[in-house]
Amino acid sequence: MPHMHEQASQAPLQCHCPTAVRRTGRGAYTVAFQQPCRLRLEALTCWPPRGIISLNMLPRNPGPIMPKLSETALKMGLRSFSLFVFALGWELLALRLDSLLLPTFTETIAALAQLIATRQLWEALWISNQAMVLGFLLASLVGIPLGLLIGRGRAIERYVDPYLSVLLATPKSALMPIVIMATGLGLVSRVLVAFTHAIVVITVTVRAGLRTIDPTLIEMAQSFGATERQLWRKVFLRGALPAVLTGLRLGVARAISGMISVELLLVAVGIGRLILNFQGTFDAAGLYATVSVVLAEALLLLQVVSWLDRRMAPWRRERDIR
Amino acid sequence: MIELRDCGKTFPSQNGRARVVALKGMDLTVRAQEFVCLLGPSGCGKTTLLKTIAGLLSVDEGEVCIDGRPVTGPGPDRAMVFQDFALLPWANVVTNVAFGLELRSVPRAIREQRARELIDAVGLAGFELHYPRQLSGGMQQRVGLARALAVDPKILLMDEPFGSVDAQTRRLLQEDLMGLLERTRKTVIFVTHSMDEAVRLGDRVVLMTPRPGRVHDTFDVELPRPRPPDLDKHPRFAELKEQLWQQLRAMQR
Repeated sequence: MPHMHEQASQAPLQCHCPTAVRRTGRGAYTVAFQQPCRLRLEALTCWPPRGIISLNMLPRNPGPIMPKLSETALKMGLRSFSLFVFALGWELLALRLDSLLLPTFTETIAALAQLIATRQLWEALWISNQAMVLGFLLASLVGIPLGLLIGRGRAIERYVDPYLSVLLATPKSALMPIVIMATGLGLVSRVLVAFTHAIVVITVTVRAGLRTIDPTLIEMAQSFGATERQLWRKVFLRGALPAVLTGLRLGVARAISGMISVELLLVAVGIGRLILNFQGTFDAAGLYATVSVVLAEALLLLQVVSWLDRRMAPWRRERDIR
Repeated sequence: MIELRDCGKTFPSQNGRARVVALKGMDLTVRAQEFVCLLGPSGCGKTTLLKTIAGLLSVDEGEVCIDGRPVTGPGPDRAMVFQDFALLPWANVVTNVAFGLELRSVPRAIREQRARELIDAVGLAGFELHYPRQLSGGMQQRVGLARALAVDPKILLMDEPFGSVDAQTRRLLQEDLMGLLERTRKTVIFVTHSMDEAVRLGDRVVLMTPRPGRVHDTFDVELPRPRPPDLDKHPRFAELKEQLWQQLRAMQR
């Protein structure tokens, strides 16, 4: 359809997103139609694109790409400005207090640079993450099916619910000594601690997500003769997907905190050991640097899950549970 | 032909003690290709009745038969249109319309072809790849209607399908429904709150009483088909509406 472009700039030809729109580069998008025809769509304000994109947004002659520079630049600017204010505040406060407990921002950054250069940090990260990742994966493997099962079965729910609530409120750290006593000081015990930290929140979130599926959808599917298997595949699993992703995100955060607490309190290895070492030498800057590495890792992992979330569940609205 | 003989259905109420009698001694016969409107005040078991015919609920007493065979569950001869549309929020219009066929394991290419035909028929061409929340209520119900028609059922069960759209959209949807049914005749059971809608669409209006739900009276509409555009001026139209109103009012007293 060679005339599509002219047509598009006259009539507001609408195209649907996001399935029909693919990002092909920075600020450039390709719109797929049912007819074999491709168009470049410039200047989208958000990704993934939401709502209806009118093709009359297209410039008649796609000249140099003009993304909404002002908006993104403003956001970036504000972000770095707030970071700058935070750093400055920290620096000034630390200088003023001149305490052993609070190193200055610059000292911390210097310690961080030093730390990153050492093998020690990477070994510690490797050891800690083994336990965290294994524990988290295990918690997902058990927690997601468990949440689905509880969410679907009214009878099971009645009996399991009180325990889940209790478990959600229990400080998981209280369970750590028992885990250690049962499994010793090796990797297994640390995996189990990360597991116990993550599983409850994953289970509870997945269950809640399954409960938010509109019951008329189930009725609808049944009226078209859906079998139980089809109901699971085409309604429950699809409908619970956003909740599963939310559960995973919360689970990652819990697993990280579990990993660090067990290392600090019981089994001094990995990052926890590093922190304890810095504590022993009153090296506050090193301690802060280590903590910031953990924070950075947590943020990175959460970003990955958020990204997955947006990728896999683009239909969900902002007001859904997050 | 759909036959209900002496049907009864009782639900346990929320607190588990009192029981709600939704249907009691319900008799109804719907001929093939007849358009029957079920009218009655809220809570008179209209939706329960529809769901028993759909096979989503079983009756406690009596029996529901379609062409002489008792209903034991949902079947390919029936399709339902829901009041709140019941569209899959994660699927676009094509996938939603094809959903019934998907559940019946129709290959993708064939079911999407069929879905596109029906999307066209209900006037949604161009919206194939939209998601439900990008559509207005009226458009969403067109998707619901297309989905039901896509499986080519003999019987169309409609549960207050136009209840949650505004008055103008409702009139448009009514006209389009009539148009679609002119082309493919189907047996329709249409639950509604609106006397106007019942008379405008139905061959027969069945008035139900609440608690327990049963047939109070039936009215043959006897208006020409296809319904003329100036139906509102037809004396029979006004007369029927008035009759229904008198009965409903007496019932509420």
